[in-house]
Amino acid sequence: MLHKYDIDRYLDSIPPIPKTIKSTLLYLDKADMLQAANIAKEDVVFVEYLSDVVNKPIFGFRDEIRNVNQIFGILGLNRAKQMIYSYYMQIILPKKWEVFDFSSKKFQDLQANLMIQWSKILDALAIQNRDLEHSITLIPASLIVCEMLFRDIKDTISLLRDTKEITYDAILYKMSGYRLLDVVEKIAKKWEFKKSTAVFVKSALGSESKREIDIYLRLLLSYEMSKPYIIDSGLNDFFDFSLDFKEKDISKFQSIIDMEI
Amino acid sequence: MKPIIKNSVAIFHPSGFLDGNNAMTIITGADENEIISKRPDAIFVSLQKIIFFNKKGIAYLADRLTFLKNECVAFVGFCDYDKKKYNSILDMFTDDINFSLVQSEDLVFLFAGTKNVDSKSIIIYSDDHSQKNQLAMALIERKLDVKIAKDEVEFKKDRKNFDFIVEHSYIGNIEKKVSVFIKNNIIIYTLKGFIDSDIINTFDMRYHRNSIKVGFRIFCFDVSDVSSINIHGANFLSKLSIEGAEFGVSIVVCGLHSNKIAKILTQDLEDAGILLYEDLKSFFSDEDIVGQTGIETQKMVKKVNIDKKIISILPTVIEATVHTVEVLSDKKPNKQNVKIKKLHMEKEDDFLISIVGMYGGADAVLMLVMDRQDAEDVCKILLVDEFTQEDLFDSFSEFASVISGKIVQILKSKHIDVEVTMPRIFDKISEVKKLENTNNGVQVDFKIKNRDMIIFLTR
Repeated sequence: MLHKYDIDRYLDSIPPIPKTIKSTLLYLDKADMLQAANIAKEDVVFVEYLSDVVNKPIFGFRDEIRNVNQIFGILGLNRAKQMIYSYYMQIILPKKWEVFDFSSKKFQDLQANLMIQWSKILDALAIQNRDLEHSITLIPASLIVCEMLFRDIKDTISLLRDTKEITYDAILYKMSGYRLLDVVEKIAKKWEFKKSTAVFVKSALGSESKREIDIYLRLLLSYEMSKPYIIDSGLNDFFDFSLDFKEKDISKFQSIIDMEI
Repeated sequence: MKPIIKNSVAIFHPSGFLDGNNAMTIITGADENEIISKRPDAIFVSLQKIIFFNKKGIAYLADRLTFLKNECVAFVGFCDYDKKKYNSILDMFTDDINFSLVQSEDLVFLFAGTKNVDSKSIIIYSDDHSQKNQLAMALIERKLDVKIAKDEVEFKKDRKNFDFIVEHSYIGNIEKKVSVFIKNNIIIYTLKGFIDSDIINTFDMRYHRNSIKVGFRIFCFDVSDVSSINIHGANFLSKLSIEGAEFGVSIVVCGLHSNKIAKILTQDLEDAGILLYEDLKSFFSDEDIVGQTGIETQKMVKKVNIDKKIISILPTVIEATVHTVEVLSDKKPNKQNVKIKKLHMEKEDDFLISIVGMYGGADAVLMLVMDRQDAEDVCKILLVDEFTQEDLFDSFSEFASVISGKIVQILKSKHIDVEVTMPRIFDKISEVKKLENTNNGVQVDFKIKNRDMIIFLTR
């Protein structure tokens, strides 16, 4: 059984964001890319993460880039910030996945795909509020939370899901009264994400909102969670949100992300 | 993607987008092997959570379903869709549809599987006359009460009065093996065509033996649609009757008229103790046998004693049960004592009891008796806030499946390969006591607060 106090204990165990990363973000907020890159270089783990992610095919760079200044320069301010927020997840990323057949590499693939596709959507919808761009970085945290919270009772939960179609989110809620996004919101607060970021994610995924941006976030997650590497990992029906979409929204979404039909 | 297999129906539940790239991860080779080993009556893919699909995705799944249909002689197709998805699939496969379309998951259990649905009322409507008949025939063969709406006006007027509404459904080519369903605690097998030595291959003997193990005692073969039975077919039925006699099993054959079988073979069937009835209706009106409700028997029942194997798996059974109760309910059962005896309870009311048969590396029957309040607690994750008695029974059965699944896992780690039956659920201790009338077992008494919980392991 999972209780609220198990979740609180988990939240307490989450480390703060390293000082170098916070400083990097502060300089990016001030649009000082050079200083931000200089500080970032001090964190070798971050540098490795950054170059691993940006050199994924979805970013579309022909030559491999390893230099932080160069990476920040190519990415631009907003995408560089997005990278920092994505890196936050590395702090809580398990070394070995037990509940899901997942890995750090697959997690990074998911992060990269979501970032790129989400930017395309925001561009296509002509959304100026770039803070929303960062919201996508928060969502994969729910996978980590789920992995960590269910780890000790994974066999029982797996057998339960073999007998009934029930999501991890529903199980967590029945056991503890918390939704996965409630836990993610608490993590966001601890890491000093803008309040509006967590509020947006919760409202888009936790309701049947008909707001265009909310619909497209749900479509994007449905799309990404249908990829073969996700289905193989046992994560296909991970998110428990409304799937009631209009055909015109699905068509527009497919066109934005260049989906092969 | 693992399907959920329940009441002999396997259902895959993919979500999101379905196309040629991801379809092969929905039904994998490993999934196919798992399904073939379990031979369910029906195999379906739910489209409830599918937002978008294209022909490549559906065609791939249809191909795999057709493969499984041939391997398991099962009813296969897609379920849980709206009218638009239904029309879209029909448009994709205009020439020949080898699979079926059933509008909701609940309806699949009307057409196949062992879920008890005999008391439900059903109305059918289709604007395709031939499909309307196909749908009706498939349900009537399972002895369900079906109203066929003659037109849309009648359908719209009457539909609110029925438990199940069958529309936007399509029956593809069905080559059903022996179909099976349960009515009044009696297992009914419906046979078709010519019954010869091939019955040995098409009859699911494992299901039959497991049904005996979990307490079914009357098995009825409806041969109304059988053209004829030869000596091999008759011998098969006789053998079933003789084999079941030691467990108090009655074999009934309905609709066996003189034009279908030689007179001498009919005598052989009677000599083997098989009860013959004109048709199902006359059988069900015979209170003397139907009144036994399939769990009692007046015949001699073979007495089987517990053995070392039962004792050796007991710690695993206790570990799996207690752990599952703790994880799902936050309650800790405290062990009181262990005794070898017949099932004994101080109090007889307000319990739920699950019975699971185990076979293979260990031959046993596991009964779990829980106070109704505790049963509701362990099922709370599986139940909706407002639930019926039927919901509670279903959820308690799922809870019992989690326990038996855990037992299988633990025993496997100890190199003991065990298989388990689907649980049967009771709410009357008296029925269970009749069932294990003569057998001793190991009874482990627990207390959850001041309430009783019992694990009873017997053969």
